[in-house]
Amino acid sequence: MLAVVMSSTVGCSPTVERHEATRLELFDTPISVIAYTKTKEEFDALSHLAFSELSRLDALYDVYEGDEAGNGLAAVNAHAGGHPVEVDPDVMGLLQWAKKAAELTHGVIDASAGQICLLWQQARETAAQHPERAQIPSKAAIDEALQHRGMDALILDTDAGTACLTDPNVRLDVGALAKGYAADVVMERLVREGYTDVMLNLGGNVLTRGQRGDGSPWRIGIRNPLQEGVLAEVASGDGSVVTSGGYERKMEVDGKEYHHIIDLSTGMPAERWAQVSVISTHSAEADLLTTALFLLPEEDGRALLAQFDGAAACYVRQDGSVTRTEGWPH
Amino acid sequence: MKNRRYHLTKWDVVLMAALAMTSVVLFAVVCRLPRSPGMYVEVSVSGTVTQQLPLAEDGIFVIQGIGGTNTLTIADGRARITDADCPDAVCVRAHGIKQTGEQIICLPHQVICEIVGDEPDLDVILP
Repeated sequence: MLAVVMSSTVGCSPTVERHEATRLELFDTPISVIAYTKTKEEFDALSHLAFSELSRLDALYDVYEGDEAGNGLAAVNAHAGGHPVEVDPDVMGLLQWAKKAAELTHGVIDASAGQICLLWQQARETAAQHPERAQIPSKAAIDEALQHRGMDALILDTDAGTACLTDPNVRLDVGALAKGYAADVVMERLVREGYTDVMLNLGGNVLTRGQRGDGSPWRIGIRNPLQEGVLAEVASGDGSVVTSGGYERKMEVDGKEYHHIIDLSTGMPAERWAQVSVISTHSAEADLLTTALFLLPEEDGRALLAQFDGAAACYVRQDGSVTRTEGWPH
Repeated sequence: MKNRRYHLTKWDVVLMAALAMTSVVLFAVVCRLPRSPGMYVEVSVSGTVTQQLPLAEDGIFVIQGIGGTNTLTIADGRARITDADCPDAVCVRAHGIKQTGEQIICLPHQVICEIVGDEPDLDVILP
C-alpha cells in the first residue's frame, strides 16, 4: 500500500518539463523556442541565449533596417561599387552559403537579386498603408530591377574577412536563405552549451534536436494551404522541416493575391505550387530547397533534391493534390 | 508451527481507505488537476496572455492589440479573426483554427491566438 502511495506521487513528477517562449520582433516573423528542461530556470537561460543570438543575427542579416555603417549585409549593400566591407564571421558564412546556393540552383535562388525584392517590398508597403493605391510593380520597373543582379558581382575575401559588391546597382537580399542558416547557427550554439532537447521555429522553418520529454520524437504538423486542417505530420529527432509560403508577405490588387517568392525568370510571384515542404538534416538546406522547389518544375526540383542526402519533399498543387517524394515518411 | 491465516480486520480496511485517499490527494496536489476539460482559445498580446476563451462557446470578442484591434469570432468549435485594422490583414485571411497548437498571429498588433487545452499531439503546426 505504501508502495502504491509512493509510486502514485513519484509517478507524476516528471524529470523534465516542456517550456515555450515566442518573440514577434525578429526576422519579421514569429519565432518560438520549445525545450524540455529540468527547471524553468534552465529553460530561461536557454531561451535567453537563443533569442540573443537570433537578435544578433537578425541585425546582421537585415537589409531593410540594418546598420549601414556596421559589419552586416546593410553595410555591404551601402558600399556597393565602393570598397570592401569587413563583415561578421556569421555574415561571411551566410554569403558563402549564398554563393553555393546560386551554383546548386543555377541562379533560381540568387541572393544578389535584391533590387527585384526591394521593388516588391515597396509595393507591399504601399498596399498596406494605402490599399486604394495598391498596385503591382510595372513591367518596365521589373525588367529594370532584374537587370541588376549576378553573384559574380559579390567578391568574398575570407582571409581579410571582407565582402564587396563590385556593381553599385546590385543589392543583396537573403530572404530565401537567412532563416534556415540562422537556425543552424543558433542550434549549434545551444548544443555547445549542453542543451539537448530543443525545437526552434522561425516562422515555419523548424529545426529540432533530441526528443520530447517522454522519449518520443518531436512531432511537426504541416497545415493544408488551401483549406482548414493538417495535411501531414512529421516525426523529427535531429533534423529540419521547412514549409514555403510560411507566414506570408502578401498583397492584394483588384482581388488577386501576390505573395513574396519571386520567380526571377519573370519577376513575378511563382504560381506553380500552392505549397512545398522539405525535410532535411540541416535547416539551411531545407530552407534553400523549399524555396527552390517552390520555384522549379517538379522534374528539376527532384533533381536538386537528390543532391542532398536524406532530403525529401511534399508538394501541394493549386488544385489541392499532393505528391510526396520517396524519402518522405509515411 | 501452525500457519496463521491472515484476514482483514476493520482497522485494516480503515487504513487502506486512508492511504488510498492520501494518494489521491497527493496526486491532485502534485500534478495540479486540470480545470474543466475542453479546449480554449488563448489570446496573448506582446507575449502576455490576456484571455482564455472556451472554444465550445460561440461569441465575438474584440482584442486590443498594440496599435490596433482584431475581432475574434468563435463559432461551431473553431476560431477565426473576422476583422482587423492592421495593415496587411494576413490574420483575417488565415483559415479558422480548432486543433491544439494551431495559431493565428497578427504580427503588426503582436496578437497570438492559439488553441490550448488537450495535451498537444503535435509540437508545432506549420506555417
